[in-house]
Amino acid sequence: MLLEVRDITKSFGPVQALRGVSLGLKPGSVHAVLGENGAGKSTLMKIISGVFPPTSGKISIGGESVEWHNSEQARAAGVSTIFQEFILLPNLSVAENLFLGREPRSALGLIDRKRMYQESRRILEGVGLDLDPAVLTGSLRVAEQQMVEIAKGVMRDARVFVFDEPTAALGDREAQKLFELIRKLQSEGKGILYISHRLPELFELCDEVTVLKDGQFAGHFMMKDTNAEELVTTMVGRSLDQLYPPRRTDEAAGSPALELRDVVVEGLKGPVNFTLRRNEIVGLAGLEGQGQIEITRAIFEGHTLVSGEILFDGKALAHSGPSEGIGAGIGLIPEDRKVEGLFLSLSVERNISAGLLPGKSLASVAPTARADIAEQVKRLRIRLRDVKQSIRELSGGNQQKVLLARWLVRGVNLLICEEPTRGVDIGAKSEIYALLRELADSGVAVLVTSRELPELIGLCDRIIVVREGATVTEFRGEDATEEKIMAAAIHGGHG
Amino acid sequence: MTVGEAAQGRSSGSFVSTLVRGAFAIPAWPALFLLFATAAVVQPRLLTIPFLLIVLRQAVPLALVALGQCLPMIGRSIDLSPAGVIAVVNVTLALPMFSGGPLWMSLAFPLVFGALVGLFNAGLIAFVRASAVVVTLGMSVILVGVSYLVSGGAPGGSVHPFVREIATGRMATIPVAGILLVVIAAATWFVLRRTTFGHALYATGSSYPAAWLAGVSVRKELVVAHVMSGIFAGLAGIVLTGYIGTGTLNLGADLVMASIAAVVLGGTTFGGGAGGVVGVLAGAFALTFLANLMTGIGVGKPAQLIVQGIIIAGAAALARWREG
Repeated sequence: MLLEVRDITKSFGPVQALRGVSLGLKPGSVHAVLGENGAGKSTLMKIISGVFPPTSGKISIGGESVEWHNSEQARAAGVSTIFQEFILLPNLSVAENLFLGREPRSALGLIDRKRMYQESRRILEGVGLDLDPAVLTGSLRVAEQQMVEIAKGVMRDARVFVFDEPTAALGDREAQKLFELIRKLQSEGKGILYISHRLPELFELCDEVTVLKDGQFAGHFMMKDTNAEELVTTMVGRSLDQLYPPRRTDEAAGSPALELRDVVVEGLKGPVNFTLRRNEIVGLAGLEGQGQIEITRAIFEGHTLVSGEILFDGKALAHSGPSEGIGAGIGLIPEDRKVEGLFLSLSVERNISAGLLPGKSLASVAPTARADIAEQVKRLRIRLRDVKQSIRELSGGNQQKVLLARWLVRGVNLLICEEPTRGVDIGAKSEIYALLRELADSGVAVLVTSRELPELIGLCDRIIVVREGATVTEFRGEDATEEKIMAAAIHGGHG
Repeated sequence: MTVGEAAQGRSSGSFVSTLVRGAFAIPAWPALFLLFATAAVVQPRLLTIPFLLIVLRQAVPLALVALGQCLPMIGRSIDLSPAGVIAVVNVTLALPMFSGGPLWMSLAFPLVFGALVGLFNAGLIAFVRASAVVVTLGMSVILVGVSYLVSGGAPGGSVHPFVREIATGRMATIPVAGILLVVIAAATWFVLRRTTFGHALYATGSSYPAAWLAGVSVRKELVVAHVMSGIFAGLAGIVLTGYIGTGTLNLGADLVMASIAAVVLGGTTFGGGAGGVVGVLAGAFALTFLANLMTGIGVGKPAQLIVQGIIIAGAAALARWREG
């Protein structure tokens, strides 16, 4: 074994994050670590990369028992970790980052820049990165920064590479490039630990997988002998077809809540035509940037239309700006949760009660709605210590539930969810789906956009396909397939 | 286990480091502790009640400006114009028309003038989306120029006796200005913690786009924050003018940087969205105490300014580190 961890436990105060987890990494293998958020995989990775020591248990590298108290020791022992949040310094050049603390010196003891750049270029080429080493690291794309981080590991002769959700911020092509590099490391006999929520890429890349659940070892499989179904079941304790709640069976959806008639939104070609009824979940599908977000924002913010009309509850939409849109009974969960949705420096409580502020006079006493918030936190099973806790400390899934709670506490007639489960682990996904269905059943009209077609197909009653700012066709949820939707999204019409 | 993940989500270090980060959430407290400890060794006289009351009185103008300053800063804006407001208020109150006129003029003018300055700042910042630093700095320069015009370049004169009383009077042994400060601070605390304006201001400072999409009237928030900051600067102008009892040039020039230092020490970072009234007061008191301590051990004004600069930079760096 290249790396072996045995019976690792880790407690934070009274909380046990890991209970007796073991894992063995062979040289030349890509070993996935799979688990829901909160299952303990990040904690395990941090122990392996020396961020903090385990409470008990053993780590050995190449058969030799080691004890680390900081990440520098782990790095020196040959473990290179590529964290989600990079620790490269953005205002230094790539070469300076690569050689930080070990810059080549000239005879006079000054930094030998020429040699540093030459060597950097060689190392970067080694990881397939064609890049000027003098360029500022902060100006690189995420994928490139990741490559530089890997290059740094290669340069230090690391034997173990730990990847923490490396594809979370990458596009498809960039991810493929990363996979190539990982395969190259693999062929050189390195061991790779790979954390990801994305099952398909695990099957593409990994040899074996260790599954964690609630801080404990839940299973170990060879990738070629298992399937998604089995992994999900091991990970969440329920099977994949239970991921989506059952659709409405009766045909009698409620009265129309939202009607778009020949709508042309500023900057889009149009026209957009669709109806959304109460009790219904309708999805907007399409290739990226075909106008989905422009349409949802036009509804939520009440943009002035180039032509056409939007009816909300049978009357022409008459609001302007988010504040009035919320006042009219519309809630929005924006696609970029961290930037447009959350108040990261504030508490969970304030993030929820913010939904009650629109329409209140500035001089009024701010609504706190403690009881309502407590009720929704319980109903949505938001996992937290305290509602006064900073929202930053919650996992993506729980943060998303907080945004849902914001609108549940206020009460809305129309809920727009852009990318309802982006960056959310599979357990929280199924909870969010169930909740959206519950909301629809209670009479709320739900409009969803998503880049993930299986999600739209599994969740929605109807799916509207958008192409170049116009609606082209619609499918009933039970009739929709990824092929049909893609064909319509690319060619238009009923492909 | 979820909590464990949460706990390690931010602090990338040990339990001790988490504890230290928590203690430094409001850098003013460890700063005050350090100052008191130093004073106990080198100048124990500074820790007597009468002397602390003097420090309190001295701290009032800075604390008022800082309380005003924390509003725009919580909303991720900034106000560099208080120096200009104070300069104009000072020379105006020293005009015979004011010092000999009815009291209400000496009280109303500073507040109304401060409010108008804040309104003008906010108009440019919130609606034209101009840089708060540039707008309010420019405003400050203009107002200092105006103060020269008002005073004819040769300030002097006297001020209304009641204005002097506000600044220097005592009820029993407690300075009137100190009582005024406590009342105003309590009101500000209520506004920030309990009103819709306060909650929405924290949201605005935390994330402007998220606040807008959550239906917060972000522009109104910034307008009110700047108007209030202007009013607080006007108040500080009254108290400072009362201290010196006459018109002078450039009164309050060093208060702006000091107020930013007090706000940062109080836990509000340049990023906005956090911090509160109690921390700001502690910050203002700590800075004033520091000045006294340094004077007490014979350190001159230049060195004091240097130390103050180091504290601003240090507190800002500390705040960044705390956010990880």
